[in-house]
Amino acid sequence: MTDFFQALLDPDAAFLRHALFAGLIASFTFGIVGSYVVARRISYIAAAIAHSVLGGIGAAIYFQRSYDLPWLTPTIGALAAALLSALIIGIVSLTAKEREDTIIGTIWAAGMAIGLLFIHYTPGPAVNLESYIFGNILFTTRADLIITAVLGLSVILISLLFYNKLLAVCFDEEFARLRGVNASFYYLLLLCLVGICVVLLVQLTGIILAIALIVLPAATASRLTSRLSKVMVIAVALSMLCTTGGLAISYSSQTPTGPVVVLIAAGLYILSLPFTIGRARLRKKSSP
Amino acid sequence: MAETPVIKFENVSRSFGIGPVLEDVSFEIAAGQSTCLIGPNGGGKTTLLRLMLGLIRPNKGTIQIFGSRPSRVRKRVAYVPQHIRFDPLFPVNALDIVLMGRLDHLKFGRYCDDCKNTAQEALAEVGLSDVAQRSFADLSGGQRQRVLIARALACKPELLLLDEPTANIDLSVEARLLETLEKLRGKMSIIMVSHDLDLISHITSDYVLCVNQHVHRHAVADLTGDVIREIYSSERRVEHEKKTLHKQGDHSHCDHS
Repeated sequence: MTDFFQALLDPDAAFLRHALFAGLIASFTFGIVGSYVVARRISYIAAAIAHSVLGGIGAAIYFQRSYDLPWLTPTIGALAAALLSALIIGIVSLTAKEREDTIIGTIWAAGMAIGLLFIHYTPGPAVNLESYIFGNILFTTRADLIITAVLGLSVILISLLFYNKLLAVCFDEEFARLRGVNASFYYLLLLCLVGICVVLLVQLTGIILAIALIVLPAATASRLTSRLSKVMVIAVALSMLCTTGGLAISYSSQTPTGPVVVLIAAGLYILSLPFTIGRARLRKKSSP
Repeated sequence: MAETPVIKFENVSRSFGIGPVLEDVSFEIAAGQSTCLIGPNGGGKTTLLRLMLGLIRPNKGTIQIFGSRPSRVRKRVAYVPQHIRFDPLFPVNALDIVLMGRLDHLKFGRYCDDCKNTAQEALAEVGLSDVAQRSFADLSGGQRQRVLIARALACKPELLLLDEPTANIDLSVEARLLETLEKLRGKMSIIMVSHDLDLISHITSDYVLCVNQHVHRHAVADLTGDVIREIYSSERRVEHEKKTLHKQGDHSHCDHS
């Protein structure tokens, strides 16, 4: 592990510092957005958005190469697809509640299918799908870092400004509406935040493992405290621990980063399970 | 000029897929008055409350709350829903929930100190000041129900709608709740769905509204065992309606001439 910290100081290993910073900044978004996702029980929506992102990535690569549009990067495609999927799922679930699971499944599979077709027809050298599906944080460039910082900051700012309204909408949408809050708007806003969070995760853990880092740190934190703001703080800290620890272990042992990060998150979650049982016992004792 | 009634329904009908839930409902509740809604399950009590809140619209007829459309006066109305339909593991404490009653005073960020004081007062009103910081998950069923009532009180409403507030709480808590409601009755109109005759007498000494597809007024004094049985037994509903119409002077349904 010490070689990881030594390498961080190595002037030639800028990629490692980029990866570390990207992980730390993104941890704020996983912790904050993940807490809402776990509280509102919409992890399946987050998973569907994550998978649909491949459609945006495939389309971006296709149009970038076919029409020589260098600005149309996979990240932009991913962001567009994530926001579009979030809005479609949100609007359908708001207007026809009983169809929610169907639309989640449709977006999930159709997004991936679109991505695979675009990649099939993309001219030029073969597209390395693996780095999108499983992520590769060690390829983080300075430009990626800036995008991560901008997206991360916007998520943090929105979450803090609208914390109480998002909390109320997640807890009791109908009541929030009766108090004059535009509940539909805030629900869609929350799904868009999930979308942005997913885009940041694609780089780190890839599409398939993205859901783990949204859900696990927040779920672990929920075991330890019972107030959303505190869940967020603990979840951010846990996400930082997972990403930094994962990076260090994978660097030292020459293993892929994404899976190691996810397994640390899963391990912490399992370790947290006795805490809930403890709290439940305490509750039983204290109530007459 | 007479004061605007709190609630006024005129020929209101509302149906869902399977058929009419409420049909040709007309009634009025005068300013400052409180009453109870009684009737069998599926009779349309909750639908009636949701219409008053503007959460659903009538297919026919007009509804006025404080002389306006329900959706326009929502801020003057507070609602305590029926079921414990909340995720008990949701990470909030009691005070967080009660503060939601002040949502209409919140723009960005945190609640103001005034709002926090109002929320604390509302919690004190239902006797829960000591569990303000306790998580919702750690509260008993009765305490959760009272937190929801405190949340409604924090709205500082002029009209309070309660959907079976005592369904999930034990007797000692119920007594305390009734005390609270009786105190509030002077300050606002209370409309409460309940099956409990004891409870009804704490809210109104005048009349109740019997809801079963149609809405009829009954004087509280007339609510004898027979009447109650009639109201709740669906086979005898038709008979009951005939009798009510008869009392109101409409003999078109009567067998006698």
